Amino acid sequence: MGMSKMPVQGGPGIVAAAPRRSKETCFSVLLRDGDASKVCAPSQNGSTKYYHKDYLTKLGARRLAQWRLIFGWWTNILFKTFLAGIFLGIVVCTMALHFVPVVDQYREVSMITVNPNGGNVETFHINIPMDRIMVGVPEHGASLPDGLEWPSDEKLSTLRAELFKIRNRKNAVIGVASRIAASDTEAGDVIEWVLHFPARGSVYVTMRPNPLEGGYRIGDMRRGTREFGTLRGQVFESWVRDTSGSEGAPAGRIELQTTLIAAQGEL
Amino acid sequence: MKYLISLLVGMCVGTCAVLALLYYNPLTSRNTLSPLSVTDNELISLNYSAVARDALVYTNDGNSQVAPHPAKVLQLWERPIRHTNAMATVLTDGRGQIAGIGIKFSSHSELTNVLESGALVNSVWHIYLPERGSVFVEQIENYWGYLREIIVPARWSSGDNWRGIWYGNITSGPGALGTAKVVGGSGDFNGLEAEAFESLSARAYSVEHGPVAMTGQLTIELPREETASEVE
Repeated sequence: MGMSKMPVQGGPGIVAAAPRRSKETCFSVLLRDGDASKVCAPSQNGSTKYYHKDYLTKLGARRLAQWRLIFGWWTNILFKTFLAGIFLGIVVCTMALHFVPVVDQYREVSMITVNPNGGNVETFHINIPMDRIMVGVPEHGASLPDGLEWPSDEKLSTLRAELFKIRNRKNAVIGVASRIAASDTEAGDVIEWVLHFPARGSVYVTMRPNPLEGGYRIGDMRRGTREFGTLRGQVFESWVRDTSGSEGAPAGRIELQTTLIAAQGEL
Repeated sequence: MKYLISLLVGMCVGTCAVLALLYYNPLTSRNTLSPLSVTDNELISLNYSAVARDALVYTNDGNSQVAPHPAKVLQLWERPIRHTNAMATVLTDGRGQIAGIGIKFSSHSELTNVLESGALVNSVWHIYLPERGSVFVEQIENYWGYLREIIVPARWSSGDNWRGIWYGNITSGPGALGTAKVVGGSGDFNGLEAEAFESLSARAYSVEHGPVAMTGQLTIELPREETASEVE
């Protein structure tokens, strides 16, 4: 065949090859498994790529198919559409995750009145017994709900912990609240509230233990979170007995009135 | 038609790529260490069981995966409190002795951002420790690690459960170092302003019942009192 052997640069499976013709760069190749085959590669002397069909062996056909498979797709409109789809999917998914809220807490309209020189006043109430979630007391059988096993530890003998739902002036439930009342030698008499409004924040209040005239207690807001974070003020707690006498009416309600004002910042 | 199908398939692949990147993002591995772990100040550790049926009272909207406990407890089904959980639990000290009572309110946070690996929850603790006083803890919790390493594997599991050993610090704010803010209300803690963090240690999780074996730990740092000698 007039072939002169020459070393081959690369090519999986090809261990040796020699040129077949001068214009078309065709090679007779010796495969690693010992089999001999022939393949034509693109011409080296011009821009036109052509293959000699006589020498297009199985190996050559496979190589050509691989070539088209790998590089032909880049020029395929269908593949370009697919690529555009991937890009679009990434953009749409990212935008959706960024702009569509995962959590959207429902918020009732805040019913706030403004005192002339006294800050913002908001009144909440708890209908008793409907809004009582838990009453934890050491007395056996006095705890709520049914099935609650309040610990009988001596340390907790003076503790009364309660959980409630809390309502606004329109009687709509807008949050939950906890009340802890305790008495011990170190902390003294403790009466505290935490009011938690999911869409707004929380308020931590420590009450003065002794009630004032008129049967209400006054307390100080010790800390607020989120919407209440910059506010300070007082909270009034009172028990209002129901006098309507109507069927299904609550026995009474705990009223909590907050008078809050923005904390003074340093200039 | 084939171009439309190609586009839609491409979009699905792109969406899956984003979700896979978010899920497998190695830069958002769980936080196992809090800045308070290396403090010199005194720490109070309060432990509790994070399994609902071990709590004194646990309630939610009643339709969630974790069932309220006890069964007859009032449920938080009203719209403004539907994404809120309330829990009252016994807190124990490091020796397993009763230290006090803790009440925790948790609400899904509107700042939740999946792109930033934030599954956020706004929560507050109202804690009373007999003979010591009361404290209020405000925190933002991030359950991304818990979601990624426990809940999703449990759902993928053929047995609909997860078993293993998982520990993570879930507090991610509002303190500058990712710590919770603590305010004392009475007793020894009156006037206290401190930092805290909460961690979870899970061993088993069920898709049907939620956490099966999981404990929580609330660690509160007590700032050292500045004595006259230290000032000098």
